[in-house]
Amino acid sequence: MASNLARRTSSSAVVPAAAGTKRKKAQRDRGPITEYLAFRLAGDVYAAPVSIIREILKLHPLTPVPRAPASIMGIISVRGQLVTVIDLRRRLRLAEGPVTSKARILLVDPMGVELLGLYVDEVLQVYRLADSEIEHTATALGGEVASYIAGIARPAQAQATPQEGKGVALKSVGVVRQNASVIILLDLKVVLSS
Amino acid sequence: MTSESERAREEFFSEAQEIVEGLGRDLLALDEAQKAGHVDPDLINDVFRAVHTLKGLAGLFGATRMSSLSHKLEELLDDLRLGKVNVTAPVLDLLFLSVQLYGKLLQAEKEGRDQPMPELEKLLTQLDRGAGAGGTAGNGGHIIDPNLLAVLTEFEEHKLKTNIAQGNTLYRLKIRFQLATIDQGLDELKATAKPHGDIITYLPANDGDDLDSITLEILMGSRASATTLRNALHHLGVEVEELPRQGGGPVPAPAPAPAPVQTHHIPTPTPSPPPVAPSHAPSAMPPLGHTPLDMTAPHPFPAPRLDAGASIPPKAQELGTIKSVAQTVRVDIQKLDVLMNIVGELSIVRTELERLLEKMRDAHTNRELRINLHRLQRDFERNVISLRRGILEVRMVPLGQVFDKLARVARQISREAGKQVNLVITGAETEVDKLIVEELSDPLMHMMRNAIDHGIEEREIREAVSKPAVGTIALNAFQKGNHVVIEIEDDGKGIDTERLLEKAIRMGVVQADEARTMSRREVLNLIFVPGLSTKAAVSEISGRGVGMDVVKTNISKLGGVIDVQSEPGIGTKFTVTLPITLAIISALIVKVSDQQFAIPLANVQEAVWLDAEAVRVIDGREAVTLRGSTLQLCYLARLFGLSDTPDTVGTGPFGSGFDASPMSPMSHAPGVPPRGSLRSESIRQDYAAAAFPYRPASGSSPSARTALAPRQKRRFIVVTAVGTRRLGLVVDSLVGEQDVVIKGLGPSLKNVAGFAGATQLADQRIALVLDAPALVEEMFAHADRARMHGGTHGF
Repeated sequence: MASNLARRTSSSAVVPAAAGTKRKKAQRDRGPITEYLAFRLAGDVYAAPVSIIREILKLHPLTPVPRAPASIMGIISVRGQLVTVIDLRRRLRLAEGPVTSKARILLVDPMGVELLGLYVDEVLQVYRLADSEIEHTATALGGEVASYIAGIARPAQAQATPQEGKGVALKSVGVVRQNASVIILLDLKVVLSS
Repeated sequence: MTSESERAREEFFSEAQEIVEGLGRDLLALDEAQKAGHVDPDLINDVFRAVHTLKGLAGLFGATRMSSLSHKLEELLDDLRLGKVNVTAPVLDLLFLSVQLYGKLLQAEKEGRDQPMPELEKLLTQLDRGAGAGGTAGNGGHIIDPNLLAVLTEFEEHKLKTNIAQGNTLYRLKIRFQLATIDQGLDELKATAKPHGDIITYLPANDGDDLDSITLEILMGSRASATTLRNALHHLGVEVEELPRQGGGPVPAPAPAPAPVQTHHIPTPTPSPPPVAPSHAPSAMPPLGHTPLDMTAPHPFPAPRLDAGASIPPKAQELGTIKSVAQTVRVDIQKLDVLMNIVGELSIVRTELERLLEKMRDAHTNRELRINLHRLQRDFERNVISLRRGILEVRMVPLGQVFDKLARVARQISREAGKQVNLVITGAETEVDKLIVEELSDPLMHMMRNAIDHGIEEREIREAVSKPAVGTIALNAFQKGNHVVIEIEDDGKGIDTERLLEKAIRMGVVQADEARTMSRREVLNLIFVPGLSTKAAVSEISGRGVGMDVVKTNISKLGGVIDVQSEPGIGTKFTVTLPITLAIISALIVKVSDQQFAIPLANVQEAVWLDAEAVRVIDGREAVTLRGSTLQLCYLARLFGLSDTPDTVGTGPFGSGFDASPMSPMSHAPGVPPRGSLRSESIRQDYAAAAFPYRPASGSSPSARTALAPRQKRRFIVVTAVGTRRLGLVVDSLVGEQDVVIKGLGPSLKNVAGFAGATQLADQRIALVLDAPALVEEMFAHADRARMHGGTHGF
């Protein structure tokens, strides 16, 4: 069950040989490339490194846990294992819209201690982002920026050649391109340890 | 690749752990033997072998500190084995200390820590000195027949010398064994001969050519006379011959007839079954000692036995360990949890199948097909159940594992405290879930410490009240239904209840006027209140800042209860009752505001119909009178901040209609009432004024139910009992009883009190399992305080 997703997306990314060499060249220019999974939360686009996302689940029936912190939605069973599901919107203090059928749970284990489910409104697509495409928050925004924001990306190239990770729901790619002018990269370790 | 080497490392740790535990056991036996004044050389040999294996293991895994400790120990043990050093209490202390250090070293190694360990250095130097300090055993200067010496290993030679030194007579026993039953025969012989003396060596004799039997000549040293020995061994068909002293003549004749003839005796080298317990057959040369059939192979029989320290053929030892590994498999308990998960999934498949069958019956499908499928389903069900039982059995380990540790601790503490204590253990074979055993050792250790330190009196005091000078601590375990009971009982001075009460009053735990009405039992139970320790001067041993309250908490975390009985001057007895397994429990499934919860049946006394009219509010808390005593109520819906109206739709957890409905399930989150709010006026009115028809609290007849107005909610009280405390949990409905597999909640939920875990029910839904002891604790922590200021309410 270990990152099937990462394997699938990275293998699909190397299909055409010509494109591959081109990309390799581009990579040399732009620095190392990291894959990010983009998802929507309260209308905005966020992303986290694909490497830490183990699996994307449709919404399971959730069992709320009384007396738990407000940002904990409840627990689900993933093949017999109990997983605590955290509402990222609440964790990040975002607005809460209605839950739709596009909502997903990302299974992550960023700290290596506990498998957690993260509620997101919608899963968008995988971006391959070079370091040069990522603005670090201090330079981009200045002043005090929430520590869980690892950076901001404006993935021009990535949008020109979108990496269609086939294992990921990509029904709304068109919408993404319009909206994804800014992607907020999350540092899940910080998000989840707070 | 890393995972493979990691696995090997883990193997190393568990194997080393096992050996260290065995080592502790052997040392205890050795300690007993030393006290009794007769040290069995076989025992020392066992210890030597364990240390030798540890050395090998440690070397293999680069655990240098462990291997250097083993090396030094080995030297000491070898000297002990060969009688160069006598087994004395200080030497045993050193050995016990090393067992402790092995534990620490293993822990450090496991965690990859490499911090200096001063105690290790100290021990190593002590070992260096200790090796010379024990005083050497003389060998009496007897002349021993060189022929004989040539066949004996150094260890056997030592045994021979010891026997001569002790002035024992040497005997040659001759016995014929049927090959088919030689193992039993030898064991029987050993058992019979043991009380009379020491078997020095077994040698095959060359006489007759019967293919089905073998004659052994046994060299034995004994204090007994030839006649006594003859009588004792007569029924086994043993010929006893006394050997002349002073090495005159051809002592054991068989020397000239070694291996080749043996081959003739045993045409097919059918391997004899390995002896059941290796400790029963502990000669220095295992092939000689207990598996004579092995002698078919050409043995380096009379040859290697020269330099000290290498008298055990390493080959033979390796064989020994391989055997033990082959018969038992060490499994990470997490792997068993995975298996248990799969069984859980299978159970879900089973219920699904059942449902399908039900449908088929309604659909009038092919009857034969249906019957076949039904049979298949039953088979499946049966197998799932036995699979589950099998996994549970694998998790079971004997309590002896902890008891051995306790015995070591008891020995150490009694030495430190300068008290003589006799530890009597019964029921060490009682089996409990591995996880429970692990968690049990700390609480038990603490109780053991208390018993020796606070319980057993000083020798003079004991003698003054004409008690036996040596104190006795009994450690009993037995199974009682689905529970295991462990008792720690000492014959010490008992708990000083007056002092306990006095201190409790001083600390404000008990009010002075209340103290007068407290029963002895209630006073005794004060010992579980944090901060109440009876001894004025905290001793070095028990004064580690852990009190009985911690013991109690740990035990209740395991779903167990602890009780105390004590009589002044006679002794104190702690009784711990634990569930046998944590993996599966029977639970009562209840519904509160449409959400299902499981309550462990172990904590449930009964469930009764709640009559709201009978609810009285006393000092802000609701209670009913049930079977003549007051039962405090706890409304789960309120405690958990769930909606109080279970009939309304849409308040439930994310159900099947989740996608369509707005995010309601989290709306409960802010509603967790702070503890104090239980006393608030509004709640009191809510519940006290609720218009329920009057009915006695215990009445739950069907007619009573039908008498309800249709809109009225029917609620139940689930009476939970933890120790002597009872609490009535008010729930909306009872769903039924079910065996459930409890899974722990993740670390992200560890601060959420009141739940022991969660379980997946047959319908795929997850139900939280209530932590009844914690809930009772929570409600009563409050109640206790209230009770102390109260008393005006006339209850």
